[in-house]
Amino acid sequence: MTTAKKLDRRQFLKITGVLSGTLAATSLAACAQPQPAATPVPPTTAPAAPAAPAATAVPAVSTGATVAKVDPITVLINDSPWFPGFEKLVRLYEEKSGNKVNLAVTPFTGMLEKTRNATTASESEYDIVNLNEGWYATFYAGKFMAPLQEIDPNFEVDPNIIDYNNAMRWSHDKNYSTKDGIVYGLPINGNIQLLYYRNDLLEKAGLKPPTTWDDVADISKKLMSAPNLYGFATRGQKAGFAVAYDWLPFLRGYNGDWVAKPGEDWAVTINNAAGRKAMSKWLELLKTYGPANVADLGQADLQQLMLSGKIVQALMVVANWSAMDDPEKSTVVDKVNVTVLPKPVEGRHATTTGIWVMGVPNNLPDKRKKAGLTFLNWALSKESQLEYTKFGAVPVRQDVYTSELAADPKYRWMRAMADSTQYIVESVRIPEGPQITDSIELRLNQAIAGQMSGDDALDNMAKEIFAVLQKAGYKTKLG
Amino acid sequence: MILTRRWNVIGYVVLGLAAVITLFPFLFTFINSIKYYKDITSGTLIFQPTLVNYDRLFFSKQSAFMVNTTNSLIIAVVSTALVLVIAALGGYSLERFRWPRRFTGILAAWILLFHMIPGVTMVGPFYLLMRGIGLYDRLASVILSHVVLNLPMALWIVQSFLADLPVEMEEAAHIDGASNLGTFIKVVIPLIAPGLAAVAILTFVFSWNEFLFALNLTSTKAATIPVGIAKFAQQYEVRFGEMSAAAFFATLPAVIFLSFAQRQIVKGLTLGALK
Amino acid sequence: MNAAFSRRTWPRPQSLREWLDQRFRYWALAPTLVVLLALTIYPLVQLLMMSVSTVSFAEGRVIWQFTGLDNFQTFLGDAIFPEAVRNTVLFVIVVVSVEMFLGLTLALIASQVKRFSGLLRAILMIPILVPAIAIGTVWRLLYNFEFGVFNQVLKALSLPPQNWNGSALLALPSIMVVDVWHWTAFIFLLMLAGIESLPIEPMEAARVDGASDWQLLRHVVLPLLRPTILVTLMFRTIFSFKVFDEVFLLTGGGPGNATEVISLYINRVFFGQSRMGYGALLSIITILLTAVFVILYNRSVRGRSSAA
Repeated sequence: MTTAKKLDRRQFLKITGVLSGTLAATSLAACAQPQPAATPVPPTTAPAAPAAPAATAVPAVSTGATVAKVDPITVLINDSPWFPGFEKLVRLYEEKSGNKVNLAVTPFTGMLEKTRNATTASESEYDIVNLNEGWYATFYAGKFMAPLQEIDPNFEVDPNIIDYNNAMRWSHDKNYSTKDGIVYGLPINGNIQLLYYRNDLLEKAGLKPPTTWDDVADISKKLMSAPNLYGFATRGQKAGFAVAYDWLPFLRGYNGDWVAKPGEDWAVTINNAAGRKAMSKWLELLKTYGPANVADLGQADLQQLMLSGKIVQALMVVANWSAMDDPEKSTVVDKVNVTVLPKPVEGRHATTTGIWVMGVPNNLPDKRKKAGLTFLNWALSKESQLEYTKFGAVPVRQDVYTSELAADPKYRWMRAMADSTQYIVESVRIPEGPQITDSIELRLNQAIAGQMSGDDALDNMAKEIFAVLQKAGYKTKLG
Repeated sequence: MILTRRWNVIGYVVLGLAAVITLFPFLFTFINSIKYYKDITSGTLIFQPTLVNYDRLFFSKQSAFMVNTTNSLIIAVVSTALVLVIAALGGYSLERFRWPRRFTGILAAWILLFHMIPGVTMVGPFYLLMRGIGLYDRLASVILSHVVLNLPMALWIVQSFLADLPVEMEEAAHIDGASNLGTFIKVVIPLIAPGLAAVAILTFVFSWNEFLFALNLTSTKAATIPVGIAKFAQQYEVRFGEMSAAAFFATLPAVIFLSFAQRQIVKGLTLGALK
Repeated sequence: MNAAFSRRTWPRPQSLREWLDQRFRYWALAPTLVVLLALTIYPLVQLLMMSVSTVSFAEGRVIWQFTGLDNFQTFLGDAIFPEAVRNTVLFVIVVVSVEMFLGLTLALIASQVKRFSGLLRAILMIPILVPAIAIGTVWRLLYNFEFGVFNQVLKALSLPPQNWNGSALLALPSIMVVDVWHWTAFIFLLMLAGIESLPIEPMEAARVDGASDWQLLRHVVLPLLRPTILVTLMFRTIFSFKVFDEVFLLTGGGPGNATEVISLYINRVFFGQSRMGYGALLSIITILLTAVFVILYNRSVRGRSSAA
């Protein structure tokens, strides 16, 4: 029996050893908690500018001691290039108003599911949620958001806030975002598409920034020298809403659209003459002036091409701007500029929105809803939005885009933004949107990868979109 | 098994090659973690090294990396311990004791069925369940989900190792007067120690890397490493530098823990094996 | 199953300890049953119910509507799912075969070498410890057309750079390579554990009988390892059917549907398009497919090895 005893003791010691080793390692790791922020590395410095007098008609809440004292709120938001700017804005709010804000930062992949989980539970864990354009329709249409005018009967939308084609509203009769719909959210990120180009290369060659797609082709022909310098590219990758998003401005530019008139006439028109012209132009530009692997280009890849100086022009979103002048990321600092997206010679300018709106979930007690709205109002005021811009984010007010900030070369992107506001077209904003954009995405990718012709791709898209609309009960027809 | 010396040399060469192939992407990750973004994306071999990625990873206000690491460690260790205990006991009971055939059949089918379900479809119900019992954003919810997800494989491994084990040793112990529990601890466990070690490693690894459930069952307090570094893969770009730093650093404690633990678990449990 | 200890009648217990010991089988299994009952019944039942319903989000609530075979009809008209199945099956067969072969070979060799065994094992363990999202990102960098290491090497050798992720021909094999790098270690570990628990006597006996290395391997070692191999094979197969992270990060299913796999598609239907009823049905069909596949594959492997 003594052997058995010895075994027990040795076993016991070994196991204890392992366990205490683990505990020690864990507690060491736990003790090394992060210090409160050292110096974060923002691309812009942020001096607190004195609040400019508000010249707007509607008395918006300004950055001052006039903000009501409310309970702490929790905001669901994803990490992104503009998040640091948002975070700084939040800290400013806490400073000015004394109200506390908690930020629940989530990867982009989990945002939709988390939002859905929170809004369908008995009480939401978040007071404010950020909705991407791709899915806000489900939440508006499903009445998961609190109508802002119900929270505060005196609430009115400041006309200086860019409405991004009624992204704040929803009409339950028309099943779409319309001018007189109920206000369910406020924009917080005004992401639209712009044409990025190498200012230095164009200037050296004595060329002007492009205004039509033919200009883009012209510039590409003159300046590109593959494989070290490509002329022009958009995304081509199938990844959620990548290539489809980049093709939409072509479609709209030729005066086409996925249906005749969203909100009114749901006849599928994606494969009509305008659609075909848009498809062939897009394919031609990419195949002639883009890199060989354009079918695999995602947003990160496209941005890298520009940042590493390997492409002259690119269709990207304003959210990509912060990387352009960042010396850690870019080899072309101060050499890039943006302009309004070009148009077809016989068409119009168009830029697609890819915005984020903030809303207050409906499954909250009134006190929490009011707390959320208080922050929203503050964040959308002109003074706050000016600070927001200086913190490195994308503002959503037209009066900020036309303010003195735009003259600063650091903010040279704002001019293009201001000019683009009139050309804004929304993406596919119905609850069934993802199914439709998945179809467009797949077929476009197959077309650019050479797996099917552009015309076949369009016809397949039309059939699939028609099937989705029909199943969901819209009054639709093919062609 | 005894091999001749000739094989030994070839063996070392092959293993060495395998080690190099295995290490290469890992080394690549490390190099990326000390590069600036623009150097990473130009693939250059000559670059100016920097620690800025690690700085942002540990000390930036946005990064909760140390919290994530602690959470990951606790979740992995606890769920591994739970799985070991539950699967060892349960597997032994199923394998060595008489149960109605139908019962074991149904149980086996149920377990395997559950193991085959794509994670996507289970996340929703699990969220509701955890929210309902108040464990949302607590480590316990992730631990429970990891235990459930790993139990099928653990049970199968334990049972397969037991199936191979002749019963004589246990019968001998019983004749000597040992209780069931005593036999189990002193005789059976040492004999299936390599199997248990494998279960431990696999459960730990799986838990360490699990993303879907960790993402949906946690918010900020209980988030794990995979959730934390997923934030670097953003909508419009991937923060390669920070992601590489995180990947490199996240792997180290796991490697250390496992190489230490594997040897200890096997040694400690095989001590006393009645050969 | 071994029913070694199956006393039907128990002597009267002398103490609480004896009473507990007599019922060992019950309380040993109890935790397993509790965990399974508490945490698996609800999701499985939900899955079944969802597959015959349409789940919609309206009026501020989640609305379940029983729609019977509606989802099944959608399935019949689905052109993408069969492609996803085809890609996944191809993927599984290639990947599992390669990984089993490599893992087993490496484990056999590793069990023989005495020096550096700890270090080598630690190194070979690394791939399964790196979070999947990091693996996907790193390999996407390696495969990058412009500046990835592989293309840089090709360019240095004056060979044309390859479109690893973007060509329909190379995309799936590229992902397979990543998966093999990632999961061979898994096989390696399990095989090593199996080898180390083999009894020495049969091998010593065979040596005494004058067996060569190859004969030892074929007639003694491998047959003894069979249970371990089969268990590993089955679990690796089931696991690889669920492949998601690598594909999502490397190609997103493209170009076209060349690398569309089942998990990716279900994820898109379930989360992206919010068609939960249909997603649940696809999950059930996937489970059935996986089960059939596992049985068939196991049977064919079992047949081959017993014929050897």
